[in-house]
Amino acid sequence: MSHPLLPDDATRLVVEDLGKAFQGGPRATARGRTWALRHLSLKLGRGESLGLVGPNGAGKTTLLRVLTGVLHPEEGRFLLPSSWAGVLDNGPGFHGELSGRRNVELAGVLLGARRRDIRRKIADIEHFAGLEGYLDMPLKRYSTGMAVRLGFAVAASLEPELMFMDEVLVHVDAEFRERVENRLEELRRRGTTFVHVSHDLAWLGRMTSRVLWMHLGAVRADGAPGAILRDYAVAMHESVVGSG
Amino acid sequence: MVRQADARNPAAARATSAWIEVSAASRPLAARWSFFWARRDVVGVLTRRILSGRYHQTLLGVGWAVVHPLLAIGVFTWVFSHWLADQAPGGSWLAHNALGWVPWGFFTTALSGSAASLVGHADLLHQVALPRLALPLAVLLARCVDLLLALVVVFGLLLVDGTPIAGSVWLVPLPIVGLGLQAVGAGMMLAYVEVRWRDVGQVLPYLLQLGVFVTPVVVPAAVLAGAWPPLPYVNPAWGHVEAVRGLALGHSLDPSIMAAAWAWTALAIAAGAFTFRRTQQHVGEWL
Repeated sequence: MSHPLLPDDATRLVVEDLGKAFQGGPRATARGRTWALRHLSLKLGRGESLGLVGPNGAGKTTLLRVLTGVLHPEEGRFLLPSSWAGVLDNGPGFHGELSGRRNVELAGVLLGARRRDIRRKIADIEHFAGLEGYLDMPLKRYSTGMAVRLGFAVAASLEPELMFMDEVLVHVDAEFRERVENRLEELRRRGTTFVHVSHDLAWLGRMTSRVLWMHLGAVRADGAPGAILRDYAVAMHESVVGSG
Repeated sequence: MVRQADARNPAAARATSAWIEVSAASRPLAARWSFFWARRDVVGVLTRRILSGRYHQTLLGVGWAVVHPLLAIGVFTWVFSHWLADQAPGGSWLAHNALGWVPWGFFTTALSGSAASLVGHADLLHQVALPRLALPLAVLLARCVDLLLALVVVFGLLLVDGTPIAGSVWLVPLPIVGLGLQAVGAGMMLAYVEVRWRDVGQVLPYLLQLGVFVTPVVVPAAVLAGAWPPLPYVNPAWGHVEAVRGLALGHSLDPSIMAAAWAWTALAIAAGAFTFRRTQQHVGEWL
């Protein structure tokens, strides 16, 4: 294995020429594979918050799955700090038969926390989710919104150096959304680096300091949120009008 | 691959302490021992998740872990003591069947459970990177809970039955460990085969059912080995199942058969370790 120079202290993610291919598909190459992601390079610093936008199939979730170890790349490499968390789904592993408390431990450990650390934070998580008194009830009796709140409270209790989030804030009310935004902003000020995938452009406008527009597995544009999100919104609108 | 950052740097307190590198040529994150160690708590929480899922919405709950083997032991003992009463090996059909069925049930459920562990948790494996060893290990641990309960009941039955328990009973955990490692090693390899070819899930239950008739579970070892002498060496579970019964009742054990059983266990561990290190990168895509 190569021994490249380590990134400097202010760096939190280095992606070099990353490629991920799947079998089959309409854009399959001679070897029968379609590149869902190709020649993607990226560098993120401490406290940066990156938003990923792009139409369905642009490779946003594939990129997150590769960077969080769910999928392994065919090309390229990446470096990330050992303290990272990948929130690709709200409340990973949540099981209806287990109590809220047990599910908190389960999801927290699956997201990379130690069990004892999660146990220590359980009162904070309960408070953040606004679910005081419900934690010993089986999760199957929770409403959708309650389960989402609990799942998000687990993710928000983590304090990793790098955090990936894929469209995790649906089904929550405006009050909880604001609480989440405040918490993420607090983490970012303390140095956590974020990568957000979302189709909610207003949310990305508030929560990111940089946006990457992906198209067919490659970077189409990279820059400040204002300009990129505006161009992207226009392009999406035109494609709807054009096809309609 | 994890390396320490430069500690001499005055900004080290703010610098990331260690880096993880993943490249196309490197081992996938999920197949690294360092990742397994960092996420070792996953095994415990998954074991609890499996246990809570297994007996939910049942009146007896975990009591089924005891009722299942009791029913099987009861049926076989009733049948055998009616038609083959005078051929009871070592005195009692109840003792013979109970001490065969419990390790066999543990082995087959641990094997089929770990073989199904990846396909059965596909949703989870799409959400988070799990160390490859975590799911089969959690399945095995959850089965150990069932086994402990069943063993308590079996030894209770032996006391009621008046069957003398030998001093060597304290060595019974050894063949149990041999069976468990065999199940999880082979199960792990089958789990990865099943990700690609789901046929494994269709075929395995029938193979394990056939296994009852080529392993000294209820049919006495002498009858089976009489039909085909190499069988005790060819059947991986044979020696361990015999050892559980032999150690509990004080029968003498054939050292060459025991050696064969442990050789099979070593082979299964090697197969599991090979799978851990070398399985293709495409598990996430085929699930």
